[in-house]
Amino acid sequence: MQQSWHAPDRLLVGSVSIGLAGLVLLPIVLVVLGAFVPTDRLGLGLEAGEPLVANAEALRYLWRNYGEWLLFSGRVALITIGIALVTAVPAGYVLVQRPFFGSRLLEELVLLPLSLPGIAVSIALLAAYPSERGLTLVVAGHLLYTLPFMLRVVTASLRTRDVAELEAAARTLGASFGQRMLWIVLPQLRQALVVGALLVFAVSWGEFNVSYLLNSGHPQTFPAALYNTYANESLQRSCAATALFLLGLVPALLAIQWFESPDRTVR
Amino acid sequence: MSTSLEIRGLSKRYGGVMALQDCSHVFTPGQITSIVGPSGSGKSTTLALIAGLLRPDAGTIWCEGRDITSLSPERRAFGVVFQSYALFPHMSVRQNVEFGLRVRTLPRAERERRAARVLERVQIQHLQSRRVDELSGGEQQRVALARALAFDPRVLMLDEPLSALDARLRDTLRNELFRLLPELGITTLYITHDQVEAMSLAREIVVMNGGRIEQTGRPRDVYARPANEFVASFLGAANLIEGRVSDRRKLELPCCSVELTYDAPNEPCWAVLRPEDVTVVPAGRGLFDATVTSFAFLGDRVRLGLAATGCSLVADASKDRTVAVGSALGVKLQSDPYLLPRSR
Repeated sequence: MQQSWHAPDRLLVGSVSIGLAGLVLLPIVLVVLGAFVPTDRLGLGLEAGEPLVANAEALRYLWRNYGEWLLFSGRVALITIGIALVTAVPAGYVLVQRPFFGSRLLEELVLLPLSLPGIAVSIALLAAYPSERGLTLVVAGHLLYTLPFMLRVVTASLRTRDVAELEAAARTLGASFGQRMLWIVLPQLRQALVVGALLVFAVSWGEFNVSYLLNSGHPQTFPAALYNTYANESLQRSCAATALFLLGLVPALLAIQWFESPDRTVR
Repeated sequence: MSTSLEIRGLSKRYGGVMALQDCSHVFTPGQITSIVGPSGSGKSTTLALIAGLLRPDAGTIWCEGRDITSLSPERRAFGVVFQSYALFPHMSVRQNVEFGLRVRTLPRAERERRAARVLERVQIQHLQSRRVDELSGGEQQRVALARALAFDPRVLMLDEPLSALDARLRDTLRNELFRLLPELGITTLYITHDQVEAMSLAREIVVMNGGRIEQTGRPRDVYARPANEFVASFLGAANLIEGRVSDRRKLELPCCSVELTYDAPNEPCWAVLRPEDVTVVPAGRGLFDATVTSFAFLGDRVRLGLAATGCSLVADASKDRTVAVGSALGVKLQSDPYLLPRSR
């Protein structure tokens, strides 16, 4: 539907958008610029270093220093996505289609780790799995922070699409539980699962607290490595590493926007 | 062979609300039965119970002499057209129609043959490759019907299939269903709140209210001889006037007294008068006089609101008639009023 905008509306919407974007993006823009411009010129610098130039040499340098951590972060994110998918789909299905006494409370409780400080979650995980270290424990930590998002996306999609009625129709047509899952429920959830997976990736890719506290040895997730870089190396180099971090994140965020846009209809 | 279907003492409660109370009925095999009632009367609950989508709290459902109460919906093989159609949005028209055949693992050629046959039957073969969300409401309704018919269901159930459509399309599709459904010879349950739809389509109607079956029978009989005040006023318009019978044949109404042509018990009663049974004549020439309180032009006729001593009633008159509100008219009765016993 076309909507006509009055000038005052346009002014309001425009200034709010620019203000909001500026507020959120300015620090990020400064850090990315720091990778290419001497940082003292941006008012960030403690030292005036030579700017890193985006050439093959610079890329090799970054890969040498951060490649291992990038790969580790990628592995953590992919494993987390896999487990979140396998867990959230049946859990969301049960919570929405077969609600039981206390199921709503359970749905809210899953959100709890999101508001707990990373240190508390980390200590809890270390206490719960004293023999585990490394990848397993980091993935467990990331799951606590990402599963709520995946579960929310699944339950919201099941509720808004009225999958219950489609399933009822499939039952009257003779479809068994397996056939309904495969031919009705999962296809209806496809868009939600893509968005959920991308969200999980974005959260896992950027998670610092739990990753750092649970796995202070080697290897690190990329954000934890970033922390070490900021602490020990030049600001210039840290900014360059941050730019690299964003390079992994931005495509995922853009994909979420694209998959969630209302113009896209599910096929 | 048409399928026999029977419900015995069905009851269903949602929390503290009795949605259905002790409902029993034997559906005529191979015929269309309309289940009609206002919203909340329990008709959709009845459908969900018969389809197996809900479990009754009490009572049983019998099909072909077998108790199917605990049989899952997927094993009942009852075709259902849902009110919202519930078409699978990620499938094409043909995939929707073939769904019931696909789950039965029929060979592809057989599936295609049967889908083509049913698509032709509901006249949408040209739409078979389209996505269902590209279709109009009327087309979606046909797809839903085709999907429910494709696997040769034992019983066909339609839940308010025309309620989402505009008035003109509803008329067209009602006429098509009127042609198609009897041809099929399937035991069919047609759920609607529209009494015209119910009476025109079905051989038998089941009138429901407040979770109970109020009356069952042929449409003409139920219309002419309603079992109670609810049925009288729900099926078509009716004037219900408090009266009393004395001397077996004398009906005393507040506005007049009527000599009945049959014997009736001497007791308080409701006189049921359909608007088409009330005719208006010039003042002083009828059974009694009344003042016109409203006048509505309905296209094929006019409907008059009338006030007489101690009662008000509606009457239908020819479409050419114009009457001023406030003017006086005489009222005649075309036939004997139908009497319902009145307690008190």
